[in-house]
Amino acid sequence: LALVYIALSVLALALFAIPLWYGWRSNIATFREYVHGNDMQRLMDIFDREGAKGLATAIESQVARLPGGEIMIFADAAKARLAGNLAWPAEVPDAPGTYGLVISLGGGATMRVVAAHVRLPGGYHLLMGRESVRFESLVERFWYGIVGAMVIVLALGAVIGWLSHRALLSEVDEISRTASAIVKGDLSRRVATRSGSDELDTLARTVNGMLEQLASQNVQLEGEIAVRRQAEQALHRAHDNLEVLVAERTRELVVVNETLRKEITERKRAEQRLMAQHAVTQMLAEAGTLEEVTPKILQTVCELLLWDFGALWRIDREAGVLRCVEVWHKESVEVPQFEAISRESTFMPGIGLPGRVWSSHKPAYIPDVVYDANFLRAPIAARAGLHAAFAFPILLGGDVLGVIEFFSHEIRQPDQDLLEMMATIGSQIGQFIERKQAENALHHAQMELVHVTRVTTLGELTASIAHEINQPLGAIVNSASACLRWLDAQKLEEARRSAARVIAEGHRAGEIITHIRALASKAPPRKDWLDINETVREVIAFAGSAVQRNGIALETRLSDDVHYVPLIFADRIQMQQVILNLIINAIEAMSGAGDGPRELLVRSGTAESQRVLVAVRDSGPGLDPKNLDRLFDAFYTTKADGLGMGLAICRSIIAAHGGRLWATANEDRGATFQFTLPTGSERVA
Amino acid sequence: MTEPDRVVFVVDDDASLRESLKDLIRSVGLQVEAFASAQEFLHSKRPDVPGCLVLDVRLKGVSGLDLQKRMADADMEIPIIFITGHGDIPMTVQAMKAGAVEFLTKPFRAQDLLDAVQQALERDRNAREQRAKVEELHSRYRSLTPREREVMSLVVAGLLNKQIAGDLGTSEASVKVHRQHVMEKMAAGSLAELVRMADKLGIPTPN
Repeated sequence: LALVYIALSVLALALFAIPLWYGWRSNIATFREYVHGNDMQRLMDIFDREGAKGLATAIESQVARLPGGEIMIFADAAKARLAGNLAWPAEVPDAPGTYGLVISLGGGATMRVVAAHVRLPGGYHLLMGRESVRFESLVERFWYGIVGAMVIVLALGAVIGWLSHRALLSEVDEISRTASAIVKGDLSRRVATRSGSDELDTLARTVNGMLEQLASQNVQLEGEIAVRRQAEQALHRAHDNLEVLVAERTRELVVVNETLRKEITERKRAEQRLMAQHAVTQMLAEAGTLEEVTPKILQTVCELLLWDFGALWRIDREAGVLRCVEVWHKESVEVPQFEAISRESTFMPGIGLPGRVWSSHKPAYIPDVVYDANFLRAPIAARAGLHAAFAFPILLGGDVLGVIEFFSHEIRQPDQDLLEMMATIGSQIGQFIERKQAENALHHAQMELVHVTRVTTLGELTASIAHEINQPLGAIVNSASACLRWLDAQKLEEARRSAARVIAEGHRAGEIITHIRALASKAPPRKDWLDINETVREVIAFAGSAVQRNGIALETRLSDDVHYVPLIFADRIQMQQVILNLIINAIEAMSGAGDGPRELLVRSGTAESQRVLVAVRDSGPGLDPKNLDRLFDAFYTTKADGLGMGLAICRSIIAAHGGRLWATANEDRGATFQFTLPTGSERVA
Repeated sequence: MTEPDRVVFVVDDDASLRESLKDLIRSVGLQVEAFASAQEFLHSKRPDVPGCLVLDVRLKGVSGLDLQKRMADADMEIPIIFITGHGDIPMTVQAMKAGAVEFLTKPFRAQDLLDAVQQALERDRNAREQRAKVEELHSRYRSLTPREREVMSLVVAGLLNKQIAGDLGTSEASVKVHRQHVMEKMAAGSLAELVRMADKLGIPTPN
């Protein structure tokens, strides 16, 4: 059907289009021949031969003979007519070529032309054209032909479509109705088939075959479903049995779980105790004093081992009683009365809980203090709601130094592990106290030693000190004598000046003595911000003449030249001691040496980052490299009457200030002793 | 400022002591010039008037005793008073042998120093006078002609005019004229005075 339809359509189109095409072609050919072949070429030849005038004459003569509906115009470069049957139409475009134009003829009349426009040498224009009515009618006819062909094609298409629809749909409908029946469960219906053999017939037969098969399988399926139902019922019964079993197992697990939980609690408690013990050990290792560490111990034990109130009792040797020195309780626990009475009470050996521990040297545990006969604070404890208590001694050797006790709001039974652990802590605290006592003694001995070496050093300076005091004394005597003489002479202004000098010099002598007294004093070290240059100058103030007396040229090169010295945080007296010691060593080293220049340079400056450096350089015999390491050992000396403590003490002083003291041999001669000290961040201008 | 008639120089490296010494010496109406070191003193321009030097033994750089030696080498005849903080006997002996006026140990009595200063100034004044006299004689002697100098040396040797004329191969009258000129130019009142002058001038006597 489709092929027939296409064939008919092509035929219809050809019927109309072919004659039209030929007509069109012949018209175009005629126009081309007219314009280009004959007339236009002829006119252009005339122009070539006879020029513009000749052409104008030729055209004028030809215009008379022109049939109606044709135009011929010769114009100059400005498009003014030279010859022809019309003025040059404004509609003609400038560019030469062949156009379709509508030219107005004046009086409202127009003419459609097909025209050719040629440019001749010298700028002349030549236009030839012919009215185009014939072409237009041709175009109209062509369009009518096309429309007619289309109408015929559409009508044909509609008839053929309707026929084919009828043939196809009747069978499709039948199949779809059968399919709907199957969906509703009716497997007995069949598609009514025709005896044809196209695709639709095949499909209908296939559907029928499928239906046959479905009907036979359906019977089999119903049997299977019955079997399945039986299986489900069996499964259900098995599930009920299982639930009974699970319930039994759960009961067993709960029991096991309970045991496990108890074990975990036990272990956790042991861990807490270990943690408490570890924490106490660590606190003791890091603590400076017992006073500082006891509140922390009480707090740690209370928090980790769940006690509510803790107290430390120390033995008051003079009174022979235990006295409460420290109390700690949880913030949530408010027991002001119990705290107050604990602080106020004292206990004799054997009396009360602390007294019992004191006399027994052993930890004690009271499950409930409220009902304990030998617990004196029982009524107040009852009011405060405190029940369980335990206490243990702080032991050092066989001595009880104190007692620590803890209280809880709960009633608790004695716990041997806890008591043992606390006994351990008690002896640890005892050891701590012992260690601190030893440290204090050592510190004290060191201070003594520092002081003794300082005084010894000063002793070596006696002559120098005497001279330094003599200087201002001499000045005082001179100025006072002068003052008297000025007074005798009634020269009051001069007398006043002399008296002022006496006062200034008196102060100077006083200052020197103050410095020396400070150096000789046994005051405990006191760190302060100080300018190391100032310290160097103070030392030179009373060591300077010792230097001079030994014929030594002293040069000081202090870091003032860079306009600032970093301050150091140090003990002034000890710094003076170190610098003095180094200077005296240098003097003694050089005074023993033979000839050669005796030069002492005391220099200060900065070293590394943020460190102050002081160097004392001499030109003495220098150092034996083998002994460099031993120089700072205690009791090592190269002097006949030296104690060998000076440099050892100096090094320990500098080390205690976080600095370093060392010696190097100079390249040429002599030795340099120098030390560095850390500075603060402040700097002074 | 007019030239002072006497000047005391002080050299001490301790500023306050130096100032107090200056003050003390000024209080008795003396002119003082103080220096912190020996070099400073050596390089200073000193007025040509009687003076003395108060000198600290221990000085940085050139010491007091060194300065004394350098001054002697340079013929600087200024009497020196040493002061020291810790003098010892050998040092004192060395200083006194080298011509020191006094050796004072600090703290000394102010009056002792002032006395020593006065004494030293007196000594310098006398020395200067002495030197001035000798210088005067020298200039007088330089004004003599060679012949007059010959005559003078023979006169002070005790020769008679006649002997002198004989020695010089001239007449006695001319010797007399020369002798007269010598006495006038040397401003000698008598022969004895001329002899003393010749002695001071160290004129050798022929014989």
